[in-house]
Amino acid sequence: MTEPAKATGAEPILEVRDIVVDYPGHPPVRAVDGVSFELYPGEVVGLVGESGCGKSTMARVITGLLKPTKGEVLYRGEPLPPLTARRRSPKYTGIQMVFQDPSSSLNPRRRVGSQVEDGLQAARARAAYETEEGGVAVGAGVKELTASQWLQRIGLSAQAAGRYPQSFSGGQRQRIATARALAARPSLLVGDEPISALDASTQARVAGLMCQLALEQGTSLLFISHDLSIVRLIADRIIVMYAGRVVERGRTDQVWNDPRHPYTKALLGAIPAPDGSGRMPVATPTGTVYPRDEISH
Amino acid sequence: MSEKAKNPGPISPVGSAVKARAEAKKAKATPDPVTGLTPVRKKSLWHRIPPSWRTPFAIVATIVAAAWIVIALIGPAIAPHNPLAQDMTPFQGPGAGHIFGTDELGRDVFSRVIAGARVSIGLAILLVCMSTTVGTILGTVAGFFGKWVDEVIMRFTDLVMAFPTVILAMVIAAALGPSLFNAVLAALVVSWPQYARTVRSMVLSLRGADFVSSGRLLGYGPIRSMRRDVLPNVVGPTLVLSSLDIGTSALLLSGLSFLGLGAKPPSPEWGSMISEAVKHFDKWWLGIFPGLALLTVVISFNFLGDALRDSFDPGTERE
Ligand SMILES: Nc1ncnc2c1ncn2[C@@H]1O[C@H](COP(=O)(O)OP(=O)(O)OP(=O)(O)O)[C@@H](O)[C@H]1O
Ligand SMILES: [Mg+2]
Repeated sequence: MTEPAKATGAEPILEVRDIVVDYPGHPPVRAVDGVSFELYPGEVVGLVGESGCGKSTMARVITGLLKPTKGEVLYRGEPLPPLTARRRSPKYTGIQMVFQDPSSSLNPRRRVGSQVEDGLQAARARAAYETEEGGVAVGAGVKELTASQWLQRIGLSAQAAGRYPQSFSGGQRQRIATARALAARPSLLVGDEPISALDASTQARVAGLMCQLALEQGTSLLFISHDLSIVRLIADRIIVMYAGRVVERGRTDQVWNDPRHPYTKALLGAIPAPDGSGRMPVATPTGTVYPRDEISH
Repeated sequence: MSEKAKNPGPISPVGSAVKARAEAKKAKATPDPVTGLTPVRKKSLWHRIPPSWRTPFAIVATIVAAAWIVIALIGPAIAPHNPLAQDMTPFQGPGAGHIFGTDELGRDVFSRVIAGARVSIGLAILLVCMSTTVGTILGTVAGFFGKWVDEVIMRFTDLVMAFPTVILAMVIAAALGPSLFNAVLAALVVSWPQYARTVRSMVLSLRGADFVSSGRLLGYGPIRSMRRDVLPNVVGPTLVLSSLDIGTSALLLSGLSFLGLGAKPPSPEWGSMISEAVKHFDKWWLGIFPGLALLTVVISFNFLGDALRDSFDPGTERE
């Protein structure tokens, strides 16, 4: 595991500060309750937690799709404007996301090749913008791939480009969505459970591939998952969320080998032992309430 | 026999023919280049038709509707008489010369029914096209821009939908003055709101779909997002709605003509023919034939719309 770039004193690519999200209702649902963290260039951070703890909500906040009730999102040190009806400036198309639900992450009426092509086009538009601004585009030195080359890189055949999303399985669609997002050469990629539609044996492989492709072009990856055992394989750091809060964060080896928070311990306890005997998933028996205070390493 | 002759093998001509056939079959069933799966067998022509079109109702409806469209297109060519010519004996019953009889002015009813297809079906399709276009545009604008634009458009649809369709259409047609053009205009006013509402709700739900968000994150502007991600997904369901509406529109327009608010007397239109027939109740053939024509058009187009809806329904589409 590489040292977090924090140690090298680099500017964080993303900073979220005290994010609070209330969904309207009677009473309003507080999905996220004061979450702060930062992400450094070239870093892979795993965001884990059980279903409903607010991971997807955080993903939407980070990409600007959802305006938080409180708190701020800083992208490259500047506040990120939430997405409105207007076209998003190429300045911010460096933030990409792979959505959780494979059935709606691709347009059913367009061939997947042209959807991946859109990613390439976004990359070109941003490169042009950044050159104009005098900066250097992310992955500027990396050779540009075509849409079908991207599809091949994520393990599909080149002919897949001519097909519609309906003819792919959920896991394949998530890989296509990943290809599209990566083709845009993002500085920051948020993957919202991009592997949850895959079987256990391919999960690790696809997560590894996604991580490798992201790092190749210098993309920081925020990898959201409920599965700590996969996240630990690719993440430099792990952030554990529970009921809308961060309860534990630290370097992957620290969190994995020496979990401090009772909730993290329970999450780790749910992972089957490699000898096949397996421990019963006792993780969060219904009714168990854990403290929501953060413990840091 | 002939196949055996074509494959003269030294040992067993029959065996080699079978083998050759099996090989030909194998060659045809090549694995799919993308999924790597081999199709079990080639689908027959019949099985390529979506299942919802293979029901007896759908088949009969397709044939009847197709026949009506053909009649509407080539009507004058197959009509035995001029639908406006008054040179026959009035009130002849159906018989050899005039299979549907003649009317009070001595016009051939059969020819008039055939000529009426062009008026009724043509205008119904025209009306549906117009209301679909108007409704889709306004519904898209409302769903996309939201806020006050949405409010204004939706209050208009509420206003129209608060009245019974036929009565409102009558009032508008009467106010505009009786003519076929005004009848279509009146029908348009009452029929666009259902499209606007449906399209608006589809646009609203699509706007929040993940693939639309992905496009926005890639830097799609509102127009591109609409054109690429939203509208293509609205078209299918809207066409279903339109096709379901053709029969109803024909009925509405004929209804207005029946009330004297649409087609004017000499022109052959089913609604006005029925309304003239009411004056001569004992001459059953005057009303029954245009009535049957209208009935079959309404029913067949409704079944067509149903079949179309079923084949767009994701639940029944997969086979
Ligand atoms: N649109 C919404 N309206 C109201 N409440 C919502 C909405 N979306 C999410 N919530 C609530 O917010 C909480 C967090 O939801 P979120 O989708 O962020 O969870 P998650 O961690 O992504 O879960 P999962 O692992 O199942 O995807 C949940 O309790 C959910 O009920
Ligand atoms: Mg989620």
